[in-house]
Amino acid sequence: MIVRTSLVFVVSRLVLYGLIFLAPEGQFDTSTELTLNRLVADGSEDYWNRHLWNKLLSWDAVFFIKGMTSEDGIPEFEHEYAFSPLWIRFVRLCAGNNELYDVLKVGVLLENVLFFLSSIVLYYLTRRLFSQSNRESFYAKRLAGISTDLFIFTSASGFLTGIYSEPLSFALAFSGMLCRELSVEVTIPSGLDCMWSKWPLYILSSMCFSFATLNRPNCVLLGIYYIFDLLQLAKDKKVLKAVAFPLLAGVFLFICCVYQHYILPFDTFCPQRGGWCETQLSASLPFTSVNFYNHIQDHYWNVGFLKYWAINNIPNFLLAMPNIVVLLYSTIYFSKIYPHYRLKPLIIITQALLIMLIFFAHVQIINRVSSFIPLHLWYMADRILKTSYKQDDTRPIGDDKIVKAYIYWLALWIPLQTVLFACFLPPA
Amino acid sequence: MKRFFWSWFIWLNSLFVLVIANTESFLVKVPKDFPVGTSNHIDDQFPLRISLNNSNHAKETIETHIGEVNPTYIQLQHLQIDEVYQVKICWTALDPVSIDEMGWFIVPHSTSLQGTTSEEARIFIKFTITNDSYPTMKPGTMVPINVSVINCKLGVPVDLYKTIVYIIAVAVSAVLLNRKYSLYDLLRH
Repeated sequence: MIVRTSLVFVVSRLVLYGLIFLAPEGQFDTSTELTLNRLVADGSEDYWNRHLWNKLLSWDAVFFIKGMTSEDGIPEFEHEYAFSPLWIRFVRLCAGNNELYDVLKVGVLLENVLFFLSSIVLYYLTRRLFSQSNRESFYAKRLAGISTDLFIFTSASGFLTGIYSEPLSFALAFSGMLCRELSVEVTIPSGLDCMWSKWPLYILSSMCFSFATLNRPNCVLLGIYYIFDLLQLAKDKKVLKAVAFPLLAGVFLFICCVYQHYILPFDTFCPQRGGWCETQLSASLPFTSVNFYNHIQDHYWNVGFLKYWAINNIPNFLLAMPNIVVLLYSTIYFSKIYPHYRLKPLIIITQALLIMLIFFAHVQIINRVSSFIPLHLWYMADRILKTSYKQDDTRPIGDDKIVKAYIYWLALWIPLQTVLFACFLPPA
Repeated sequence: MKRFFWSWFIWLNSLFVLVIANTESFLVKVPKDFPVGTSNHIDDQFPLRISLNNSNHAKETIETHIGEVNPTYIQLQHLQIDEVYQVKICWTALDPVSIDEMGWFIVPHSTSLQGTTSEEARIFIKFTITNDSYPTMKPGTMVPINVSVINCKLGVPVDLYKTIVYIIAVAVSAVLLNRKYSLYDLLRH
């Protein structure tokens, strides 16, 4: 399996880097040369830099490279806290120096390694989830293989050629899910049970989710796992387990969030910042009515309830539509058509993410940020697996039609989005 | 036909303006009756100029300073009458600034602008640069801005042609490749 996955991964990545290499040099947004003038002493016009590396410095990559090459790695301006200081520190640590091209190459290498590792973890997570009755079930193996392939062909692929922070969250989110799955058992009729012998694994899942959240704040939704587990255990009156497992794990995640979104920014910017600091709820505590992340998203990117719902953004909604449809259908599929108890928390997480992205965010980022949730991959993999047994698939219907259309869209979208990214063209 | 391309480009441009964080752009349409100079005199009075002499696009890096001269004026030279130009203003995300109050205007002949006059009518663009960060950048901090002026043909800036050709080539290749080796079928088997 590893050999096959590696082969698919390497070939798909080589194709994308080939497309970037062949992309015309003159980017639409000409600011990369200004960035390079500031951060590089010389060498930005070398052959490989011009044809490949410079093209990876589009969009948010500028914020990441700034942090990675700065003297101390600490964000200079408040909005730069939106660009994972955790990922920036990780790359700085691995790079060993702050020379731009060294850092960029290490960042790209780590991006690909983490992306690959995520796909391996996803394989084992899928097998674990779908082979409860028979651990070696053929169905689970095939489902895991197809899911892994689909993950490699994620709609975020183009952005993941650069130095974005998503793969770190993919790896941590999938690892956290696997740790949790390994430490809980589904029992009949009561539902969920946590095993004391697997307590460390459960707590490890919390650490994974916490670091994933520190890296990408939308991963805070993974905390829904703990709310779900807590309610299940409380319902069964397993109070001690409810405290030792989900409550403790959830509190750890909660503390990380509070530190990142309240304590750290309050200590750094208040009271001299004014504005956001003045929404402090109590004079003795560093809590504001709006958390720091929401404040910077609103102030600098105009993110907020229905703020993106404008006529001019219709194309962005259209770009997001394939993922919206597939994510939505996956929640219906696993809750109504093929209900799967173990997937319940993930269904809620997916629904919450959809609501967040459709109503509050720049909706097209769904193509980039939704891949830390594998529900839609399992939905598509399951449909593909079921249709693979059919002889005639010339006229797929219902879900199969959706899956087929989505994969056709992926085949077109991934290369196009990679080229658009290399040319510094929207969508971001 | 020209009107169609024109309206289509305005729509396309509005999308780019909305979604691109570090690029702002607008269009300049040189009027049909804009008086083109007949003398060989080179007007080099105004300090910031972008010339399209023998070219259909040009780019200059302008050094602006936070909290100092605002708005910034740039004279556009050697534009062709009845032609449309895209003016594109790019800055690096390293500098958290906003570009506002963009526009263009014609200064009639013998009219003074910032202490300069010319016997010929002149076209200027203008924009303001403001700090958009906390903490704010120190007054006087130099912010380099790339200002490009690009002739538009068939409603598309000419510097985008090679990119559009490449994008179309990639899209067509992806469709053809997917028809021959369908990703869906590869996943199924």
